[in-house]
Formats: sequence, structure tokens, C-alpha cells
Amino acid sequence: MAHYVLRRLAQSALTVFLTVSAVFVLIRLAPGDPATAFAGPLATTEDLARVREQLGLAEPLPAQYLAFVRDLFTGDLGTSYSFQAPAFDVVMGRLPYTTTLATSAILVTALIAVPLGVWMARHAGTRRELGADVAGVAAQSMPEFWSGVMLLTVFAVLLPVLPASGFTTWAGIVLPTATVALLQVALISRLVRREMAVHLAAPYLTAARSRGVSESALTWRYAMANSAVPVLTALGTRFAAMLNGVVVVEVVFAWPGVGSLVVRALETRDYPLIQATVLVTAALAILVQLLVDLAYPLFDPRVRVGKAVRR
Amino acid sequence: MSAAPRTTAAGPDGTAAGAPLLRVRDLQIELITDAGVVRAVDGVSFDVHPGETVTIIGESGSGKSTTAMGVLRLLPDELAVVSGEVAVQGRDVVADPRAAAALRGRAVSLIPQDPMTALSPVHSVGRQLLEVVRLRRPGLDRAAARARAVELLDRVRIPEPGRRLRAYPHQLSGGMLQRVLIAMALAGEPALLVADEPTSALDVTVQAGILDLLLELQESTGVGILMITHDLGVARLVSDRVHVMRNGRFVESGEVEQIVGAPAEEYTRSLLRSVPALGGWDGAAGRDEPARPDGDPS
Repeated sequence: MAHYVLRRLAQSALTVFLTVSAVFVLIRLAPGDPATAFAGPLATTEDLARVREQLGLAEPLPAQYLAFVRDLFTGDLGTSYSFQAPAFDVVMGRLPYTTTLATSAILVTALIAVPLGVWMARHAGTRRELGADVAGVAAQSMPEFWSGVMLLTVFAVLLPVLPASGFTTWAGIVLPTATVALLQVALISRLVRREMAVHLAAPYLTAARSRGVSESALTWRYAMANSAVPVLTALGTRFAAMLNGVVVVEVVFAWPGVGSLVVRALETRDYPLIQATVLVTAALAILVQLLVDLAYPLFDPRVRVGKAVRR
Repeated sequence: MSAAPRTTAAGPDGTAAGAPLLRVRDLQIELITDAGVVRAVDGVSFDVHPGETVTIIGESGSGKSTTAMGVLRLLPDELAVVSGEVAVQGRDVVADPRAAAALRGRAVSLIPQDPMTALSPVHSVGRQLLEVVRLRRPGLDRAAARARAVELLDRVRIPEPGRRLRAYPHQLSGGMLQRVLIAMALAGEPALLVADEPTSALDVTVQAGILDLLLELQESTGVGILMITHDLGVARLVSDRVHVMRNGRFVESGEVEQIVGAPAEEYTRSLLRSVPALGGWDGAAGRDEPARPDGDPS
């Protein structure tokens, strides 16, 4: 088991390194010049050249990359052009906001989507289930920038009960969470319904019913336990994706997280900041995936690693 | 175990002294399928008395398994319409489906068709068996319930029962799983066992051991068995009475020797011809298997 974890960690480190390397090259190939953003609109050609020299961008690409890798292994991710502070520290300063929002959104999603999906599976074919299904398709079809603005208009402008932006009080987390959860609940509840429908019709369920097991135990203990792995995988994947910054929602609600940071970094071609953001969020997302993988054996004895199957 | 007819509470014509465990009269089951409504069971009547085995035999699609599932009310309401009379220990489960839920796992238990898919794959055998033990005897504490579970596994001749409780279904062979399922059915201390093709998913050598075990348990507990099978060899070994089913109806009913020896219906004769050999159950094959862990791959 320890061997498996170590191997997976080494793979993860390599993945993160390759991701950051790809981003390093791609942002330099993309159009745009950080010197223009950095030196301001009135800068002369000489100013721009001097700034490029300062930022180390005058060197050829391979030399820049080698310097980047050398610094990376000493724990230095460079200095953000626009913040004039270590890029890693800037990202880490924003990260708690994103993890808070992602955790809040995934908890709300799980708490609503799982019971809703179970309810839909148990009431398949009824009018109320059809209504929930239609609502799910609608929620799934709404882009987040639109649903976010709608929620904002209703609950912060027309009925000013919640703050419109920022994160100064805990009430500020309600609308961004609701915006993220709306889409995720629609997606996850349909997955739960599909999985539950399969397991509620499984032969082992009929067999357990024939032994006198109660309907609630059949639903929650039998069918739910057997649906756990795909549902857990989906929740873990969604959570990992949210840690990369819930970009649209963060921008709509002026949420001071990694998502709005990366938008700003891209606008100003702040290369070190872009690289640091990618490094941190990719590492985090891969770590969450690893934790989900490690959790599988808890939910399904058939995938227990390193345990010989006895016949 | 002998294949000869055994003496039972039932007389030669199928009538019995006491009240039947299971009384079925004019049972009709309509299944709602994509192709429309199908009358899978079309007015069958039979009784099962304590200590006897009544077999319904027929080819696939004849309605025999639907009959068994209908008796237990395990067909989903939205897919099946059941009418007629099915009385388990005098309680009509057609008129009152909640009575069926109360009787399942107590008065009547099912031995399912395919043991490989009849247990939840993510829960241990012990957890699923203990659940049934506790449903029947809610007063038992943990240790006593576990002792009862070990006793049940021992009774169905599972070696090392204490260790098997920790196993998961995928770690046991088909024959072993069917023994676990029989133990689970016995945990409810039922008066009637419904065995829906209990051996059709198993290897031939394992089949004999399972049938042998069922007969032995019947001798010791006096449980009535409703056996569903397509296999005349199985029917001949276990049955007191046989109903031959085709297209939802019984085409021939009677004592097992009469049906096998002098079938009146051409359909029964064709079923007989499709069985390559009826021997082999009484000899060594039936006795050797249970003592060792099943070696067949699942």
C-alpha cells in the first residue's frame, strides 16, 4: 500500500512538472507581451527592451526554461510582475478563498444531489420525477455567468438580502455557492439516479427483499453502498476541477480566489504568476484525485490493492 | 439420498390432511413489457404442504419463475399485475401485499437462481447473514448473533464458517455462495422455501451437493419446498409432486414417477427426451462435493 502511494505521488509530481512546462512554453508562444502591460502605454521601444531585459525575457526560450527549472527545484517560482511579490505567495494568499468556496459548493452539491437522485430513482416514471428531471435539464443548460447574474439580480439587487460581491461576511459565500451548486446538483443528481436505478433493480436487491430486509435498508444500505464508487468519483472530479478556480463565478461575484487571479494574470501576461497558479492548482487537483483513488477500497472490497483474492 | 418417492403428508392425489402451507388458486400474472401485456401465468392452482416438495417444471418462458416470484410478491407492481388467490399460511398475499412483506424472510424464504448475483458485492457475507439473523431474532446481542450465523453456515456444511463470515461474495465460489444463500434462507426459520432454479447456474458436480443439502434440511426441519426447474433430473430427485408448465398453464400434474414413467402429454415427453441422462445423483458425485471448499471458478 505504501509502495502504491509513493508510486502515485511520484507520478503526480511528474504530471505537475510536465503541465507547468507545457504552460511555460505555450504562454510564451501565445501573442501578447508582458513588457507592454508592465511598462505602461507611454513606454518607448527602448523602455520595452529594458523591461524585457529586467524580466529576463530577452534570453532565448531554452535558456529561460533552464533558469525556470533551476529556480523551481530551489522552491523559487519567480516574482509576479504585477504584484511585485513572490508569485507563489500571491497564489497561496488567494488559495484559501477558492478552497473555501469549492468545499462549500461540493458539500451543498452532495447534500442536495444524493437525496434528490435517490428520490428520483425511487419515483421513476411519476409526474413529480418528470418535473425534477425537467428542472435538472434546465439547470444543466444555464451557463454559470447567466445563472450567477440572475441570482445576483434577484437576491442582492431586487431583494437586497445577500451581499453582491466579495467575501467580507459569511453571507457573501451564499450566492457563489448557489451558482456553482445549481449546475453541479443537476449533473450529479442525474448520475445518482442512474446508478441507483441500476442497483434498485439488481438481483441481489430482490434477493435481500426476499429475506425480509426493509425498503429503507434496501435503498440506503444496499443500493446506495453499491452506487458509492461512481458517485464519489464524480464528486471528487468536480471538486478537483473547482480547486482550479471557479473562474466564471469568481469573476461574477468578485470573489478573491485563484480563478479571478488567473484571469488577471493572463490579461497582464504575468508569466511567473500564471506558472505558479498552474503549479499550485494542478498539484492540488491531482492530490484530490489521488485521495479519491485511495478511498475506493473503503467502498468496494473488489478493488482492494495488494490483497490476494481467496477462492 | 434416494430418488424414490418419499412418504409425506400429502396423499397420492395431492390432497392432504392438514391445511396447506401454500395454497394457490387460479393465479394469473400479466407482465407489462415493451411489446405489450403478456399473460405469463394463466390460471394455475396448486398446494404445498409441510415437509413436501412440489416442483414446477417447464422450459424457459413457460411462466414457472414468474409463478414463484408472484407467490413471494417480488414482481415490481408497475411491471406485473397479479390476480387470483395465493395464501401463505392462510394469509392472502394477492389481496394484501403488505402481508407478503411481513411473511418474507419469516414464513417463506427464497433461494435465488444465480448465487453469484444474489449478494451485495460490497458487503461481507457475515454482515449480510447477521442482518437476516437479527431481523428474525432482534433480541440477540452481537456475539449471540454471530454464533447463530456460524451455526447456520456450519449447518449448510461450509468449512471454517467463522472465517467465511469475513469473506466478500467475490471471494467465494458459486456453490459456496449458494450454501450461504441457503443459510440466509434458513435464518428466517421459514415454513416454506421457494427455490427458483437453485442449481441451474452451478457446475453439475456442485448441483448434486446443493440438492442433497436441501433434501437433508427438509428431513430435519419439515420445511415445504416449492421447486422451480427446467431439469427433469432435478425434478425426479427432489419432488413429491410435479406440475409441468407450458405457456402459463399446467399441462400435466401428478406424482413424479407417474410423470417421468408415463407422461401423458407430448410436451412432457419432449422435456424428457431433452435430458441426456438422469443417473449420477445418487452415487459418489452427490456425496463428495460438500466436504471440501468448492474449487470451481466463479
